[in-house]
Amino acid sequence: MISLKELNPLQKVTLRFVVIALLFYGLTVIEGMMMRAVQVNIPLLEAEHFFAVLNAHPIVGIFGYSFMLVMGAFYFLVPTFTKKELYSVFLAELNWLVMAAGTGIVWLSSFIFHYSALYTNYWPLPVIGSTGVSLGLYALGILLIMIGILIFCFNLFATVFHREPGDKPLSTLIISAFGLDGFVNIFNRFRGRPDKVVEPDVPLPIVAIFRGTIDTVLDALVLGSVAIVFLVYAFFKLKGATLPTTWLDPLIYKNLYWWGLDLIADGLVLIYVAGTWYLLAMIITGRQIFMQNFARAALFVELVVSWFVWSHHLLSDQTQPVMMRIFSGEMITAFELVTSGIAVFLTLATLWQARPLKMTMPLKFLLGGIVGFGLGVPAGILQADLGMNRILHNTQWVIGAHAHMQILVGLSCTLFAALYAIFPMVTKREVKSEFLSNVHFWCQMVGGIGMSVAMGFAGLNGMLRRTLYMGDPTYLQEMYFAAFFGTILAIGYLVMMYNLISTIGIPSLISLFIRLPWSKTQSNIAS
Amino acid sequence: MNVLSLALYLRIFYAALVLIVVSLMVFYVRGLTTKGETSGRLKAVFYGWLGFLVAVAILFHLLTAWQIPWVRWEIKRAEIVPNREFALNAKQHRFTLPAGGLKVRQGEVVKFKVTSSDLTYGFGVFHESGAMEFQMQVLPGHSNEIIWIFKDPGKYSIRSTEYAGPETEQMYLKDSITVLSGEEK
Repeated sequence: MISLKELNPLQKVTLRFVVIALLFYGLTVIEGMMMRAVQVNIPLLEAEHFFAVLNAHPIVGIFGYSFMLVMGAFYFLVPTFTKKELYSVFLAELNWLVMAAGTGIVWLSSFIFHYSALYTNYWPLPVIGSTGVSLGLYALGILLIMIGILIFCFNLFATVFHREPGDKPLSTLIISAFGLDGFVNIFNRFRGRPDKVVEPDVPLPIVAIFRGTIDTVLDALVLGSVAIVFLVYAFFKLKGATLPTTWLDPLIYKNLYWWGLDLIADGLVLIYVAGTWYLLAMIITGRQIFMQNFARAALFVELVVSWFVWSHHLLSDQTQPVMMRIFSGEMITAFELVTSGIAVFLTLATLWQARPLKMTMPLKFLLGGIVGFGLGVPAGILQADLGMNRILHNTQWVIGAHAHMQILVGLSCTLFAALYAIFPMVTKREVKSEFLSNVHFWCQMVGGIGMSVAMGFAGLNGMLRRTLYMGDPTYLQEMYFAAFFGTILAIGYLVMMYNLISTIGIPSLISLFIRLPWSKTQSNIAS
Repeated sequence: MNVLSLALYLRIFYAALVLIVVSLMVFYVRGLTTKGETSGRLKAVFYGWLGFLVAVAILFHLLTAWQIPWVRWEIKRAEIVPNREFALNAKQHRFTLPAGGLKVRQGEVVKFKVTSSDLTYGFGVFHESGAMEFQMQVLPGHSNEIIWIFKDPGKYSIRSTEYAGPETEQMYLKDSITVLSGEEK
């Protein structure tokens, strides 16, 4: 069992983020399995309730689980890696509270009040298809989450750019944080000159984190603004007045909304993940990243790329200009294959140079994460094509072969790699059972890949996402496979939680959040 | 190329992709855990990989534009004169079809013009097997048009391919499009 007295405030707040994130992951798993049951024709939920669960599922999964696990890990790793103090532990404490409250409120708005416009929120469904209470609660929850994200970004920016007297100027730090020093070095090498920046001012993983944070801020500003619009409509709904929906054009709204929403995929999923891969590869091998100038430069290129790819979500919108669909939706989007391919290669090459390596849990999960993106990114590029999109848009392919593959295998394995790597640093204890950690790993890989592939094949056979097929046996075979592999995934979650809880100890776990009556004597229990 | 053969190629491609990626990782892990010299050509391999990725990113779209006919129909939509034109409307989670139904002949150029009076819907056409023939988004306040040429005769169903609330489930019109073969009357 862990004694909390041994932990400093940064370690405690990190642990709080991790615990809450994993509980939200559990909630996402339960929601997912409830919906899986319906998709194999077990009438567990009525349509209204099914779509309310479907509404909560991605919000709890992305913001409650993924964002909070990322935040916890980065709150610990950024100060550790930059050898600086975290700007404000108080803000970090406030951060998890705001995020947890926001996610909880969104869940309530869906599960209890049946808000079900889904995360796409296509105009004007949110304001027409919901009550004032459900819309208001949903918008409030989203707004709190976005405030939480802005607090996180501010705290990280302030930490990375904090300077002591005698430190390099801010402009140097900013240039390095953007990865521009990588460009300068590559340019110099083409001209046969030595590197201008031999020792970068900002380490590569921090460049990725900083870079991802820029997109995350923009995403929070867009989604936060939409939440404010929803709040206005909810306010008037509650007063019995109905505001016109024609104030917003559905196509312009869709462009703006997807521009912001897509930055989650780029800011969080692709870039934070690349940063975490680099970080783990450096920790595991004790080396610098292979050809790190390219990695730094690629992160800057990805910054530009990520702002111009949103149209791949509108390839089937016939009123979206064709040239916009071709350039933004197809051509620029295709370069995400290049930027993520660079991250995959450089991480694998760095590890390869340090062989032989022992297959530790962080390394296993890191490689699992790379497999997830190796499968999920090409699936995404495939559907971001004018021809392919005509038969793939809004099918199970998009959410299975692309999204779930990237989130459950790519992102989750990367986050678990970070979790298993930082757990001993944060708690000063090794995870109790390596056998159970291995069971978790294989369940995550087999369950995640199996479920995503089954959904992908269902999509290729014409099965839509966000659609109920109760009593229709057309896609039942694929859904049985998805349910089977989903169950393996759920077993993996339970095994991981048992392993972590038995390592931390239930009293310590509860004491992280609530002062127990016997907490004074608790420090003596430490094992 | 028709839709059904494209879906078949995609199934084969995807199965191969999964097998290749997983096998490469198994192969990589075997090498990673054994002692060995790192090739001095790793940089050259990197540049080769970079070139491969750029080539795939560009050539993939050129290939689909060349081989998939509906890409050209979409790009030249404004210039194409259809043999037949249908106007449909969606309102309160119901499609309203034109009087006389939707009957077309195999190989005819058809234009579907779908409007929405309230929410954002989808307009999807499906084979009897459940495979998708095509789909598009239907935005209110806009005229959503698509050009299509049916290659296979038979009955096709219409379903909303965009979620517009739990009631979207009822937006399913089984066998609502009839495609006659060239000889059929």
